[in-house]
Amino acid sequence: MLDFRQNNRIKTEFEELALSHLDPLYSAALRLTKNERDAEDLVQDTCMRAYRFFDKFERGTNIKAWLFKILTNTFINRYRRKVKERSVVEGVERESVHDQFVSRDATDFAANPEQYFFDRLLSDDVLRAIDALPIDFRLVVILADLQEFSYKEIAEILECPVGTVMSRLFRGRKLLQKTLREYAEGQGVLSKSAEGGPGQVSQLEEFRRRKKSA
Amino acid sequence: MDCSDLQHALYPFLDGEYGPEERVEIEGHLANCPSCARLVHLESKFRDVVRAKASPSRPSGPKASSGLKRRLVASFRREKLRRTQKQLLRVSAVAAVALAAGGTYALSRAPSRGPYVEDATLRHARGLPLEIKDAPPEQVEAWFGDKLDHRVPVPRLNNATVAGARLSNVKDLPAAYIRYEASSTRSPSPRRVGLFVYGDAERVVDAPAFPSMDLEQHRGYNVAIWREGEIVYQLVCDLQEDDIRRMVAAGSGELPLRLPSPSRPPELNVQPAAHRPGP
Repeated sequence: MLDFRQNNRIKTEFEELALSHLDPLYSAALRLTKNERDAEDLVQDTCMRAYRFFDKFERGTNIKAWLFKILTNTFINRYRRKVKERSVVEGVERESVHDQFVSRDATDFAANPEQYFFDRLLSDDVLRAIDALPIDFRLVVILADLQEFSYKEIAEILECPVGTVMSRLFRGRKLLQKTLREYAEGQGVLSKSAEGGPGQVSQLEEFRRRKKSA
Repeated sequence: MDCSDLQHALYPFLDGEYGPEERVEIEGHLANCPSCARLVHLESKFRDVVRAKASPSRPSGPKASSGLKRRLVASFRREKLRRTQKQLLRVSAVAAVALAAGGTYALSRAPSRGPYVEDATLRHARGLPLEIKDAPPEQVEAWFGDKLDHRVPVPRLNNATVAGARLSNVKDLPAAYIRYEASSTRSPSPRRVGLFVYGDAERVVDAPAFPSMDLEQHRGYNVAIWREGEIVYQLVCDLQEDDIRRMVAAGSGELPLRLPSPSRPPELNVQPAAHRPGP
């Protein structure tokens, strides 16, 4: 009976912890599912699973990371199938991290005279560009840039090596830059890429071309 | 460190993943390489912009709705209820084992009724909101589904319709609460009838086996109580004894109010609470 009362106290403690992380969980769920209804369902599922498995949570470790691990697992298992997103990571991921740190991408980005175009973008543009990322890149960008987790935490959340986190974050941010550049061009904030030189070539095309010639 | 090394190190550097030694090395290169320094500045700026414009903590960032919070708290409560009941069942299983082993274990209390009658009456009188409304009995049964550790049969009562149901408790026992609207021979408007259904494997509640039932009075309510195996039923209403008798008797043919013969009403042993010795 004592154990029983303690159990109730632990559950009450969990409720407070979970509710205090509800906003970050919901905002991440919204970026993953892309609509409010599914986001709410995802958060509800996540919290109930966390509630049931709370005795497996190791005291003193990062509860936010633990909750996000359950959130991403729940999403991948249950919602991803529904959304039917095709992963582009396979194949790309087999390349070593080194291969992906291609100097041209980066220097061209820096060499562009209108390099600060992204300053003029709206929140909605940035969110739309994040939402447009393939899921594996989107997950890492959400965890690193929006939720500000460390690489080690992200590796634990996604159950993958830190090297994988780094390569996905690299590709994810580069894709984000490319998408935002296209938005800026579309809005006339940035001149068309035709005049911009090789730097405007899509990162993936560039990557594939280099792969072929290598 | 050269320009190609810096390309590798750029994001981890900006993300604060490096220790002091590595940072010194990178900063050393940046001090001597304007092109890499510009790149770092630009990427850092881009990173800041993304964080500022998409951060969930920005003023216009998405917030979990109050509806979601409410639903979560309700789900936690239901889950806790289920757990409590499972735990109680485990405790009772342990007790049964202790008894079977012939140890010195003795039941700490004899079956009692008074506190259960009082608690159910108070809960019924409070008229708490229903969690499921305007649903046929089958749907109410399905709604209880796995919310409680025992099946919840929804008896069909004569001259009464199911108005809805909610999860409740009778003392420390998680219970199903089913509300009926009953017509009475004495009143033109329908009367509220509450039926508590709860598991009592330990037989802590003193209730006669159906088709017998006892009638208690508390705070102006009549409370009929009976059990079927491990499940106790407590009917709370302000109807008169003969109305209750008719209501329950006519439920014949439907679970759980099976009667030996449809013509014979259940035996009611009317025992006003005031005349009973306390628990």
